[in-house]
Amino acid sequence: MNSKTAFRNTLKLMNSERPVFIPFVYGLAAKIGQIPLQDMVADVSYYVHSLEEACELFKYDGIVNHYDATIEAEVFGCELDWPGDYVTPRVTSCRQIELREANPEESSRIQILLETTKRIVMSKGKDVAVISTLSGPCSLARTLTGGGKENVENVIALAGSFLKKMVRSLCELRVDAVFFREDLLGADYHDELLAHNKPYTDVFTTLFNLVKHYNGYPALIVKDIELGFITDLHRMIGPGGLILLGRRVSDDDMAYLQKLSGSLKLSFGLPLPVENQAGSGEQFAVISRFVSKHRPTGFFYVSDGEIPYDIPLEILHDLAAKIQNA
Amino acid sequence: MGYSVNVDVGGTFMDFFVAKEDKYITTKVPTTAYELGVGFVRGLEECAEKDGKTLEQFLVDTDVIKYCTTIGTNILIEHTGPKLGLITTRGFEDTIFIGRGRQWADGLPASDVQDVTSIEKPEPLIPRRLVVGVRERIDYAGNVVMPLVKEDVLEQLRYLVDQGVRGFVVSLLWSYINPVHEKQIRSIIEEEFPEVYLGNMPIILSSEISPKEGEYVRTMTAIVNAYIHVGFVEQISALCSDLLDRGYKKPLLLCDNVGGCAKVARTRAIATYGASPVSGLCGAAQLCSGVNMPDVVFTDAGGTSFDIGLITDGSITHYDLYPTVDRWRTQITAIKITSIGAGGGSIAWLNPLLGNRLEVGPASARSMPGPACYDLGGESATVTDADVVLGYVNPDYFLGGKFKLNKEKAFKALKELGNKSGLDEVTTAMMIKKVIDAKMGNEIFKEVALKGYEPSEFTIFAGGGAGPGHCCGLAAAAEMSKIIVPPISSVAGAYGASTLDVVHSYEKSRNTRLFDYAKGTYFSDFDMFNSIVNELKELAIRDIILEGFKEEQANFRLELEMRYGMQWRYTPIKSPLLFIHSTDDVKKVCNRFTEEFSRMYSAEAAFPQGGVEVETYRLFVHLPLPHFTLTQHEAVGEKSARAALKEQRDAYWEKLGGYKNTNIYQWDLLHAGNVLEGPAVIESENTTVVIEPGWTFTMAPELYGMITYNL
Repeated sequence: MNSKTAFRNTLKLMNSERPVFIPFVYGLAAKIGQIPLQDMVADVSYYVHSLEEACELFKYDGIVNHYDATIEAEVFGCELDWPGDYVTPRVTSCRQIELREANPEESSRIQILLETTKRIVMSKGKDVAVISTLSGPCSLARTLTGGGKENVENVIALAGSFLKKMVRSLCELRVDAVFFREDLLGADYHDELLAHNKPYTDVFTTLFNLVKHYNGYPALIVKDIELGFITDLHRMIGPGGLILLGRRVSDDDMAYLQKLSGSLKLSFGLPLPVENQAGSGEQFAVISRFVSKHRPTGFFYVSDGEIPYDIPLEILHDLAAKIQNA
Repeated sequence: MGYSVNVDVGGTFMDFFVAKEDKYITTKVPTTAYELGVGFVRGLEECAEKDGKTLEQFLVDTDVIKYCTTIGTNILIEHTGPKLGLITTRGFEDTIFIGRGRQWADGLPASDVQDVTSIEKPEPLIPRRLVVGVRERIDYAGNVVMPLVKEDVLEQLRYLVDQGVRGFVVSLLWSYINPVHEKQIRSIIEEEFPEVYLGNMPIILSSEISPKEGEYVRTMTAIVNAYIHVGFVEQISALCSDLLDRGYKKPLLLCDNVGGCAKVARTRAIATYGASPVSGLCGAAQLCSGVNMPDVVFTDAGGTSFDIGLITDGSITHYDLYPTVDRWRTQITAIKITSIGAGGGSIAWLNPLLGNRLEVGPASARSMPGPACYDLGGESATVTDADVVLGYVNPDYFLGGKFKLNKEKAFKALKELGNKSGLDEVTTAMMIKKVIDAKMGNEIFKEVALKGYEPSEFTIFAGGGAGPGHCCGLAAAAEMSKIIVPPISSVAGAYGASTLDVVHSYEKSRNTRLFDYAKGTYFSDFDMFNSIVNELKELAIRDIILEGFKEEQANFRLELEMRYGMQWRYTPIKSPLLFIHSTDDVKKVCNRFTEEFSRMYSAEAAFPQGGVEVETYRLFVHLPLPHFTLTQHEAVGEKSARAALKEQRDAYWEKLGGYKNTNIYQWDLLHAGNVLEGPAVIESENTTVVIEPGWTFTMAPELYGMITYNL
């Protein structure tokens, strides 16, 4: 079974072999490609080459096409800062934004991202999973409003409408999954979602339906949330998978998550804190002990956020090899 | 015995019918128009899952896959065909642009044709600058009057290649009588531009695609075929390779529009156009003949279109000799199917030209974005939205519950439409239902009555996902009172594909006067007649041997397009003989023509005084395949369907004055002999049967539903 099939089986809760590993490689890919990140994402050939080379080097199971939450905000007119050669850009100001219907065609970065994704799907898509990340509606709306209380519903609708277009464009390229990033809000995600429950729920439902329509899998990346919130979250927006960044799981947590996975038909991405070798080893030990007993079914490994570009490569190498040989 | 997998692609859903021994599995998945292979594999995965297997195990156990594809339709709609060059006889370069008198109306719905002020001719598939003429001439008898000049051809070819064409269509005058110049041009292209230089560029000869008279239609047939050929080959090859990777090592059979199927390599791209409703019609004919129903109107109401075909005396006899493909009139022979833009996804709108009258279709929300209730971003009110609001379609049990509908969004879409015309959402929904039912019913009535039959003597076959939900309404509009709803109705096209044999057709035009009234003599050059049939038969035998069959397995059937002298139109007949050897044989053919013509147009319309002519010879070769037959049978039991009662919910019935608490039944739990009086709703995994007040549903011993109007 190749990596792509194993990944898709995981999201169908049917993986009976080893768990797959999906690290969020972005700035590190630029470093491996020996090109500044800002230049990499401005050139399709460099971009494709860097992502593919990183995947070939570490032999992980899925290529994530980017890990950059500024790409959507930039379309609405937010200003960015590129702090270093391999550091992911950040939004510096959204004071000049125009609240209007935005289209993916307006952004050259998005066009390059789409072309890059298309080429990766063509060249690697048969063997490894190709995954796209997008800012989640809550994170994008919060970025655009800057945390303000005015006009929030309108912003949510505009953010939702833009994300729908992005999902369609990406899914038509045959990506295997779309991960919506709500980790940017950390533990505040819970409150943000509840504060505007109805408009967010409407947007999420349509986004998830769209991904499923294209035979992809929608998943949500969250950070530092309580496990007890998962049932409510599933009832409200019904994602197909949850990636629990910032979480260190115990044996009890694993048993609880397995129960949830079965009852809610939910797959779980469990984070390995790659930059912290000891923490990563401990977490890996707990998870691998559990899945070797119960089979992975719907569990898979992710890196705990973006892999730092300056990480010693042997660490990632060893980890990927350990997962491959598990 | 392994699985027989049958796939039918519609505008909104892809249907799957998988048979193994006496069991079958059906499923529907949304059509992935951006790449049909994605939906294809997804449907296969679902079927495999339903039988408890992985896709790989399922494909290894599969004996045959038959596929009714719409790749060609998509290429034409999206205009994604390659840049083509047309080579024609010098002086005739404008033939395709002049077209026919009403070329502008070809392929348009009636409502658009009436709006003359906004009609435009379609954008040509080959622009004028890519049409070149070569010096040559062949006369009507096939004699070479002016030979082809190689240098002249080369000059024109170089011009076309410099313009960047990626394929050639060759259509010369009288080439269907003598194709020698077309073949010479192909040799010159192959010699001058071999594949190693420019890659594979298709060369389509009109004499091979459509060897029949009629310059415009012959040329358009060749152009349309060439236009869809490249994309078709690419997508089918990708699918075959995908299936091969997953363990399916047997051939993929493509269904065509003459009610047959063939291996990919033996299928012309254009022959797959409209294959889906033709397959459904063939399946309906087989099914209805098994239950002794000779006169049936096959209907297939899907998400995008509503297709109608006729079965008379238990067989399919109506052909379309000049079918319109997209906006182009062609002359491939296809089983006659009438399609209109009406289905579950048809969009309701207000027509400002008619005082904001509510109209439904022909535009469809298709599978993407789909009706508002699909919650995929669509905001227009559609027929499915109306059905949800009226309580007929259960939002929690659409496609067996695997596709949840958003009732709130259906209400919102209808409310927005209703606000523009001052109606509430429920009244708007009811209006949509009435308009779509009337539209479909009127089309059925026209289709039957204009062919000389009495509609009330026919039974409606309610096929397609939306068919059983609207069958009572459309039957009333068509003045018909009997409806058959088989268990496979929602996947009628896919089921139909399972009933198809390998069929090829070959044709050739050659005017042959069988009876000369002025001289009172019958045709005597039997060798000429027989040599044409033999020529077609040799082509057929070559193809079937290449497909791995033996000549002894084949059945041949000759059809002739005939007319009385001075008539303009031809009438196709089944020839009683394959070859003729005597004047008596000629008389038999003439008599068959008169019988058929008289049946269609009355005995008084027969006109032997003009003589009797054959214009086109068409030979069908038919190779039977093993089929699945629905042989369900159950002893008739009690009338009451209490055991199948699932729930009660409010549904809107205009005759009863509003929402009424209505019994909802589960199809799978009904038994032979069960009788349901309308109003009632029956839900099955892939469709919903709506029985309106005044209609009665009876489950037949063969486990199909029969709905009749209570007189």
